[in-house]
Amino acid sequence: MINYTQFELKNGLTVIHHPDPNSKLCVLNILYKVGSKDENPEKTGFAHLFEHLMFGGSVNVSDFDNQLQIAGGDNNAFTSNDITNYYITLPANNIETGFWLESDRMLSLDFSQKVLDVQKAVVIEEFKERYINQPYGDVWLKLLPLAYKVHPYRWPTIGKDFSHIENATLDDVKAFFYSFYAPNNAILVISGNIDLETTKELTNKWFGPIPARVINRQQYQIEPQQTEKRIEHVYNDVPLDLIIMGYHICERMHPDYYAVDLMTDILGGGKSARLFNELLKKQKLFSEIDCYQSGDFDAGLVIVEGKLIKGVTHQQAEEAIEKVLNELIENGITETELEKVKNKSETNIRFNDMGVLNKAMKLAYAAYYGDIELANTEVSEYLKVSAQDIQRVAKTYLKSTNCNVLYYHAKHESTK
Amino acid sequence: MNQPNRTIAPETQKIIHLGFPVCKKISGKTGVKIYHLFAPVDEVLRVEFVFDAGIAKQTQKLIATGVNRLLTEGTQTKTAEQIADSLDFYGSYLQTRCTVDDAQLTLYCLKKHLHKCLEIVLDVIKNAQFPDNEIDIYKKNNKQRLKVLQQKTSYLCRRAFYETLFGETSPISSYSLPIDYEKFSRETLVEFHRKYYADTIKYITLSGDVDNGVIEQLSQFSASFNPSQSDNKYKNEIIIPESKIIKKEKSAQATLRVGRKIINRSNADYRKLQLVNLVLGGYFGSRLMKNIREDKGLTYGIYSVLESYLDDGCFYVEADVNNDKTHVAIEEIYKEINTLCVELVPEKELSTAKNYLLGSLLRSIDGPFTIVDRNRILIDYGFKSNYYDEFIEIINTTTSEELRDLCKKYFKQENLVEIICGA
Repeated sequence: MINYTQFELKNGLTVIHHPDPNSKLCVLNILYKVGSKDENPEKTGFAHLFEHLMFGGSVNVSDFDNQLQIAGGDNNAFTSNDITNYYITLPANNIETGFWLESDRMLSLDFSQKVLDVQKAVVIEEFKERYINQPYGDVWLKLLPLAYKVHPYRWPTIGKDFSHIENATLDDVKAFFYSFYAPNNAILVISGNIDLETTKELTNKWFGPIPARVINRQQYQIEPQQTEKRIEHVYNDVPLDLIIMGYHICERMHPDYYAVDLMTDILGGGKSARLFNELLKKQKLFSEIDCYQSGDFDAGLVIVEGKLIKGVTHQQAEEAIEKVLNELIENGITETELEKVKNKSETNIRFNDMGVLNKAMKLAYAAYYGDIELANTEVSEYLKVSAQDIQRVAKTYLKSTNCNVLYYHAKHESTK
Repeated sequence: MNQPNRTIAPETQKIIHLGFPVCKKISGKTGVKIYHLFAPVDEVLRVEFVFDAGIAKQTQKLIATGVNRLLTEGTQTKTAEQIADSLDFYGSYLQTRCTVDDAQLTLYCLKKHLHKCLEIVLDVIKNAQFPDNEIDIYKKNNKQRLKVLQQKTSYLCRRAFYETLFGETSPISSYSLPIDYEKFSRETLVEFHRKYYADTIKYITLSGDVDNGVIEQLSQFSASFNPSQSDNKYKNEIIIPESKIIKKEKSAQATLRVGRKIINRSNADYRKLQLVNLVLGGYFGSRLMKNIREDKGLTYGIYSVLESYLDDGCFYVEADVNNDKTHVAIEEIYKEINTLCVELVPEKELSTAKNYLLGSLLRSIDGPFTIVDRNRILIDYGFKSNYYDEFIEIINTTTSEELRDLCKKYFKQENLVEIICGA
């Protein structure tokens, strides 16, 4: 049980307080409701580039990291398709430094050309390090545009291409800031060894005077129902063949979500899962295989991905996967399997609810989803799922007309 | 609303007291030590079963890791699938881990299922069978995984670095080639298991929602083992490390490492050297990060690291950079190191680094599992329980002169080797 108090400032900032008197730390987590799905399709990778710029100096503080380090603090941030999240951890008695720094960069950035130029170079190196210089690093760059034709989930958060990052100008940066970085587009969570009164006082002092802004969000299109299976071949200099299949699923707040999530555990969650036992252990077709869902707010994907044992063809691999999925669709699951995945979810959630930072992020996400109580009701949502629900969602989402397959070929073995 | 004064930083306090939580210790009937730590976390438990079965103990490559991974793949009475099924049914996780110095099983479970889980874990440790079929799957899949790793510049660079520093026989550089899997036989696995797992255990740790009932269960569990006795000496050969360039065609970036063998935690200089390392490249505000990432944009990240093993240690700087920028990066790395060897770190920078280091120590004792991880350093190296409280005092009183002298003593350019792997 995570206890919390939620309140809102006049400028529209949502504030959530969670006390943990056992901790010596305090966390300030701020979630901005802007992610790569809010980007212009011609300027992708911007939300993430922007995340880097948020450390490059704000209107009154030129050295964000240094000031935080002086106070014994640490911080980081991440960007997803949906949101950008920043967090600061400090010794509890130095938390005001966090308020000072985080509020100043919400007030305004310094917008320096030098910072922009350096961070563009850093992000391009990050692009290479994570997506190019890794075997299979470009899988998402290929799979997403196959699965999504109109929705902005069709590009990854790093962006479609380096050139979009290279072309970013200071005017783009300013426009992006004023469109999305505003108290009325953010959720602030304060957790740890701090009481509610102090939280209110410090929040009002540092965030209260920041004016609300007009949020300039472009409408984007919902992905239409896919009507036939899509297949694409990729040839690359990798040692092993890989297959990755993406099935469209429901959005995060859809009633089917929990059943879909448990379904992926039945199929791919660890060493007792069906795909692992049937295809890796028994049939020995794969050296690695997994199934998971993408965790997006809008309608996401269930992914099945596996590396093929040498000599196994993509067709064999695909048929074998489909056979396991069809078995689930036709015959459902046993009560024992259901209890197993529910028990695992419960353990998972309880272990995740440890530590002030995890709890802060969980509250921020729940508030972003529009139902903060979710931070506490998640376990019971999983417990409500029945074996029939899992069979039903398997039937709904795991059909082949809903599937996008990438045949990733180890180049030296191909004819091309 | 009035704006607060945003041009002045709020006042901050220094960390002068840590209050490091030390695990309680009991001895089971046979003398096996159980270290335990309570935290107010409802129902949640972590149990670590630590064995003297690290890579340092193996006489043939891959055996220590292989035994560790294959423990859960079948016993006299249960198949791998049955083991996984029953653990999963209780919603628990059993992870295996093998390092240079030891090997372990870690159980994550809810208190209500501890009893059932311990039965499974005991069976796995005592009666692992290493079925041929499971060995075949393990070999085949790991050979495939190794092929993928061998495509990564970071892997190739790391491997060459350890090999040149520690030589081929040290457990730290015990990297395998696909061919090593051919020599991997059931008999060697069974023998290693019999010797290092079946009857002896190094110690057990227990953290989370611990109560007397839980301690009693583990105490009974421990009665099936004797405490292991072992020295931590490695088979070391004397070698002269050499710089190396490894060609990896068509890589988009090069990975580079600059470093050397160095003292480990047991040396009196180590804690202060951690501060030198921090200033150089141990955090985001370090000189290397500021220069090479934040000023020149040459890399996504550059770090310097001190790695301590029970019988050895090393220091290195690592980064992924553009292929044509490796020489600039290496020049800048040496420039930063050489500056630290001759010039005093300004007071402000020093106090920032100290505060950050102590803050990260505080962060590392937030939550029972990480506290136990820290306690294991005390156990493994035989340090006194006030080691970390003393750390605060030592860091707070270290001077710029000491940092400069330590840098000169340990990080001198002529003692460092460079490994570059890229196109």
